[in-house]
Amino acid sequence: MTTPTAEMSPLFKARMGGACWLMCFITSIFPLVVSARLVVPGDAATTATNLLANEGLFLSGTALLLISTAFYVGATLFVYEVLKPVNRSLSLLAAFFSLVGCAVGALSCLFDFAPFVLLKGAPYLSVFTLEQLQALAYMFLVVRAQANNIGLVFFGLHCFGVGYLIFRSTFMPRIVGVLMMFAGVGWLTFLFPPLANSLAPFNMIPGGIGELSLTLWLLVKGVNVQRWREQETGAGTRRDPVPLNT
Amino acid sequence: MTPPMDNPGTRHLAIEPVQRTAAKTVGFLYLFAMAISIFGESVRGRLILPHDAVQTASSIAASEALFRLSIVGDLIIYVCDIILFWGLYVILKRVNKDIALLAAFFRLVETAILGVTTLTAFIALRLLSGADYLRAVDIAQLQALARGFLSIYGIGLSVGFVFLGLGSAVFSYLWLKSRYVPRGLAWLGIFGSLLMAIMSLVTMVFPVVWDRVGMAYLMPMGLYEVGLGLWLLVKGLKAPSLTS
Repeated sequence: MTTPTAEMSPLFKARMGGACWLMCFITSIFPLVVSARLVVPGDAATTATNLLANEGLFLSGTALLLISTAFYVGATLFVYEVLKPVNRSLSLLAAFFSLVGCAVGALSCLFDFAPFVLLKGAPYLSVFTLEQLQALAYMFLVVRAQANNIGLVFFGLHCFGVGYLIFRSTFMPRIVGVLMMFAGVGWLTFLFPPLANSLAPFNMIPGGIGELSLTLWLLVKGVNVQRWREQETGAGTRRDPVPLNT
Repeated sequence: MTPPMDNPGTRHLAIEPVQRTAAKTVGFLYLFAMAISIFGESVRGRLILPHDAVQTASSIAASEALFRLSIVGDLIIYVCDIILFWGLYVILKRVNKDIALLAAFFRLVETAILGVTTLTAFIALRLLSGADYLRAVDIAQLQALARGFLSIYGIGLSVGFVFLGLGSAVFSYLWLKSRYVPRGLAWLGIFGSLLMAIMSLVTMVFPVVWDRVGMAYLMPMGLYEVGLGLWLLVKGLKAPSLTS
């Protein structure tokens, strides 16, 4: 039997959004730890040795990062759905920023594979010395970090938009919105790398606090369903044309 | 557009003309994209040699236009893909709008990844271009670097395939729910898409698996896309009967 056009309840959407965001957090921890342990800043030779000795571990981290990105796509959808009643276009705009961020983030994973292409000793690479290959491999890891930072700028715009919409909503606490706007500003510092570098790691703290508070709120409290429906119908009437001759 | 129905007892809605148009478009695009991607793969399979940078460089130099055509073919697929997702969304949003949007999101991320991946092929071409400023680097080194970038092209496809598989699995789930096409086809889609997403991740972590199975894990997905494309083009959408 077939079901008619289905609509999910706002509470379910909120919970799914929170769950996806939480899974995105959890799956991104392992890759961060692995790459912090294996990639030695400024030391191409040691980094190369570490990578070759732990290829499976390092690439598991890459695979998990892609899974984490997939969860972020899910979180983007559900948060868009939850915040649609506040302002549909703005909510869609925030989601689009996030999708660009997801694509850039996933693409930065590509540079995780480049060092192995260079270091695994394909015969055609014998025209390079080992030091040259190690230096090239290390350069790709630097490019990966920079690509990742470009993605963060788009996530910043997403977080800021989400924060603003929560602030304007009637069905979620304003403080969560404010924290998310701060989170967005924190990620936006990556727009100017020297600024981001001088502020690191403090510029990531607002992001952590804001996103964690949103995640927990969505998971534990969800939304005030009655107010959500009120704002949904309210948004509906505001779009109706205003009669000119009253 | 009909408003969403609240009455859970109502059976399925009749198929709208816009859905039928979208179905024909989607059917055509599936087959068109498959034909171009087979062309691209066969060209690159012939020109790019697994472990030989020098031979790869000379075969690309000998058939540069053909090689470029295969890359541009990939870009044409990605442009068609966006129209394809839009069509799928138009058809399947009436089953569940939220889930149809999720599938479209996954596939947009896929297209962005795949589109940028083509850049690696253009970097390889640039390294082999013989431009003056590249004389500072040994020609054998340039050829080796170019061959390395072509390897990354293949890996980029795998990264995109993770999102392609996830999005396609979600769309297939909606096909299954919709009863617009035979259920067997929808199940093949779910199976083939998930296999593609999971195996793409597995071959990333364990490259040995890739050496064993090669592209065989993409077969169910290929079968599904061609099957669905043909079905939509020839049979179109089937209005779900009340008795089934």
